[in-house]
Parts: sequence; structure tokens; C-alpha cells
Amino acid sequence: MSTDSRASSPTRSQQFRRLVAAELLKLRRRRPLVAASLALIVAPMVVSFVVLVALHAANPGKYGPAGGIDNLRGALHLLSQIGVVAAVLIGVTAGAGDLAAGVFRELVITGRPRLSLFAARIPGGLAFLLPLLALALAIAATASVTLSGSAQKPGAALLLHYAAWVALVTALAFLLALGVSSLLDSRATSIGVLLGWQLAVAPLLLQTGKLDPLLLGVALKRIEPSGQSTSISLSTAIVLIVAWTIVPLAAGAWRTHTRDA
Amino acid sequence: MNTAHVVETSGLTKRFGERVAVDNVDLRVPRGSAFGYLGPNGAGKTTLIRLLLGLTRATAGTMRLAGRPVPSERAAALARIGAIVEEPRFHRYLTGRENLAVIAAAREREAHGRIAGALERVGLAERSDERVSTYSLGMRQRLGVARALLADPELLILDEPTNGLDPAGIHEFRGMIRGLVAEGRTVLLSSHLLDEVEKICDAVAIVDHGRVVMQGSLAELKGDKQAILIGSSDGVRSQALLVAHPAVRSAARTPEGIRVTLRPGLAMTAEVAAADINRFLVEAGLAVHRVEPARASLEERFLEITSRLGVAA
Repeated sequence: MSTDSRASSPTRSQQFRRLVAAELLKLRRRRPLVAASLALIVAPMVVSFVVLVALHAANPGKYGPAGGIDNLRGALHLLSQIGVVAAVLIGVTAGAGDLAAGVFRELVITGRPRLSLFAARIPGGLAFLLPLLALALAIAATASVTLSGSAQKPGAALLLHYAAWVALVTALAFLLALGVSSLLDSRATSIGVLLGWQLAVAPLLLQTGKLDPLLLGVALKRIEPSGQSTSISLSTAIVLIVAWTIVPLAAGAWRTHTRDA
Repeated sequence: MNTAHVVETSGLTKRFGERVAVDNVDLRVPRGSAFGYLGPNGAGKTTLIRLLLGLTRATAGTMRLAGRPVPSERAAALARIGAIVEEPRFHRYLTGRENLAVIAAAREREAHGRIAGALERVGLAERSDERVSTYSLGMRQRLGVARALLADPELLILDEPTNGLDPAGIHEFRGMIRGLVAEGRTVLLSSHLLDEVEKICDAVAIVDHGRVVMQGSLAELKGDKQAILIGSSDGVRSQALLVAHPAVRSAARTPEGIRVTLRPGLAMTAEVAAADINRFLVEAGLAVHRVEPARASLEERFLEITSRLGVAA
């Protein structure tokens, strides 16, 4: 046994950074997850603008230039919808991957606090998600500007506003998935619950219009760059977004802290 | 903290509803030994290990690991403990080396520098860059040991470590455990395999139905009764003579010969008593062709204890 090493005491931030790097390693080495994320985040942008270019080239009279503000808005709406699915996949993998593989107990045995193990999943997952998102946004921004032709070019402020909004939407989906999967301890169940909510239950509730002050989708619409009118105020939207972020994460952290490993 | 016992528990209890998995266990694991936690399947061995490692919470009782109270100083205690609980589990899509890197990230900074040495030690250096999904069970067991070694552990806790190993692997594993003990580390291993524990361990606790029914050094457990095995030309007459000898407590005929149990607290050593009994039989006109110490195997002792418990129950 060595004794010299015991004197060293790396700072908590250094230890945490190593945990985050390990989380990122676990995600980026999952080939199916990488493929799905590329297919759901980057590929739709490429395909969208390729189709728009092809349509414009085939019939310029009927189809306008592939770029411009309107096509940017359409592409980023698509990204916000499909990217959320990728964010959910990444979130549930980060949240329940260790448990599914039986590695969570091996991490607990190291003596590292469970809350620290949980917390490292957040930046680790975002470090995987956000670069892909940045790539997709870069494609959309570049295409919308360079292919604008006679259409109105998006300005830098609008591009940044849209980038921030799409990043917020997908990051929230990731955090929600991370919290829920840490709470439910199951990737499959979490994916079912979250996609069921996102694709079926929330749209139905949105139609009724009676639960708007509780729905995350309504809050996100309120801060969308297109400025669609909604039934809630900006402050209510911000409170709603914060609550939808904190509550699932707190529940996941609590479960991680208290469960048998 | 350098205490005589690296694991100390007092009144440790774990209940699952009405079922008591660990029942008021007082365990003392001597530092620098290979310690066997021996019991049949379902005796509560794994649950005790899970309690020690903080994987589940105790219903009652106290624990100290490496001199530190657990759970209050759990992180500091576990920093110097490596463990395999049940079958070692890994991210199968990662390589062996990457799996170790993931765990090293949760340990002290120096743990990362121990990865290559640990892989070398368990004989996996050449396969370490292959995915764990391609490993055999035996290789995963060895990778589990390598992972435990990342802590530079003063205590290694191994739960049924030879499960799934072939005879050569078991032999190699025994050598590795003894090597770790020779370095001053303590190894606590649970097993239901009596022979395994007898070959590896210096001290043993026997557990049944969640209770530690006996613990001590292997010699203490096996040899608390001094006995001699005697072979003679006339077994019946020998037995009749032997029960009258002042040094003999009992004499029983067995297929191997007459098993003579000496009276406890004899003034003479077992060797002197054996010589005296030999002379006694020869002077009685019997031909003695065998006189040797009868060592109880751990298995005999274990069965004796558990059968007694069975009768008591």
C-alpha cells in the first residue's frame, strides 16, 4: 500500500470535473445514442435546407429561397420538436444508465457522495447535448443567411435569440428526463412517460386551455422569439420554467441519495 | 487510523419487514488477515457486506471501518476500501480500461495512475482496450479486482469472489489474495465454500440465519478439541481399553480408526498423551500401526455447528 498519495487532496472542483468527464465519456461512447442524437438534432437541419434548396431550384416561382427568417423559424421549430426527443434520450441515459448497468453501486462504494454523483450527470449530459445543438444551430444560421436570396436575412440578434430559445427548450427536456429517470430508476419507463407526456398528454391539455398556468410548453411559447401570444405573463412563464427544472431534479436527487444501491 | 480490527460491528441488524437478514452481528476482522465470512446461501453474507459499504441502511447497530465510524465518516472510510459485491458489473460498451477510468474519477486523483498497474496485476493488460462485452465471467471477476485495487485498499471486501472461475482461475485467485495479505492489506471475503475459505483465510466467522455463530482464527475454530486417530489390531478391544485411560475423554470407532478425544486441561501435551496411549495399548498386547493427530476440517466444524443449531431450532 502506498502512503504518499494520501497527503494529496485535490479540490472539490477538480474532483467534480473528473466526475463530469467520466459522465461525458459514458455518453459519447454509446454509439446508438450518438447516432440517434445526430439523427435527431443535426440531420433534420441538413435535410430541411437540402429539401428547401431542391424545391427552390425546381420551382423558384412557387418556392422561395431556402434561407431567410421564415425558413429559419420553421427549421428551428422542427429542431425544438425533434431535438427534445434526443434530449430525452440523453437525459434518461445519463439519469438511469449507471443503475441499469449495475455500476451505480460501484460508484457508491468509492465513498463519493451520492449527490455529487447525481450532480455530475447534469454538466456531463449538457456537455454531450449542447455541442450537437450548436452544430445544428450553426447549420441553420448559416443556411438561413447564405441562402436567403431575396428573402429577409435574419439579423444577429434574432439568431442569438432563437439559439438561446432552442437551447433552453432542449436543455429543459434533458434536465426533466434526467430527474424523472433518476426518480423512476428505469430508462424504458422514463422514455415512455416523458414522450407520452410530450407527444400526447401535453398537446391535449394545451387544447383545453384550462391548465396553461401549469404547462411548460405554454411557458416556452411565451418566451419564443416569434412572440406568439399566450395566456400567461412573462413572470409566470419564468416561474413555471424554474419549477419544471427544479422539481424533477430535486426528486431525482432525493431518490439517488436515498435508494438502496 | 491503525486499529487492531479493520472491521468492527456491534449489534448490527438489518430487517426487511419481518425477515431479519442480519441479526445482531458483532464482527471483528483482524487487520492484515484474510478473513472468511462463511455461511450457507441466504445466511445474510451479502447483506452484511452491503451494510458495511453503505449500499443499504442498517436497522440497528454500529459499524467502524478502518477505525472510522460509519456512516458518519463513510466517505473517508471507503476511500481506502475496495470491494466486489456479488457479480462485478460494468458498462459493457466501454473497454476494461475505460470502466476503470470511470471509477477512478470518483476516487482520489492518484487512482487514475493506478489503472495500468491494476490491469497488469490481474493479467488483463493486453485485453484492457477491448469492450467488456467481449470478456468472459472470469475476466470480469479479475477486472472487478482491478477496480477494487484502484483505492490502494487497506481493506478488500470480496463477495463470493470465486463464483464463475475455473479451477485454474481459482488457484490463481488464491495466490493473489495471499499476495495482497502479504502486502499488509486485509481481505474480507464471503463464501459458502468451506474448502475455499479453509485454503485462503487465517480467520473465519461462521454465519447462519443472519447471526454470527462463531468467529476466531482458523486454528481456534478447527482445533478447540484435541484428538488422536489410532489404528490397532483389535478395534473393539482398543476402544474398551482407551475409554478407561485417564487422558481420554471419549473414544469412537470410525472408518479411519479410533478417534480419541483427549480430556481438556491435560497437564501433558497432545504429543506426550499420544505416546502414553500408544505405550498403554502396546503393553496391553495390541499391535498399534497408526497414531496421528486428528485435525477437524472446517467442514466438520461447520457441520457440527450448523447441525447443533438445526437441532436447537
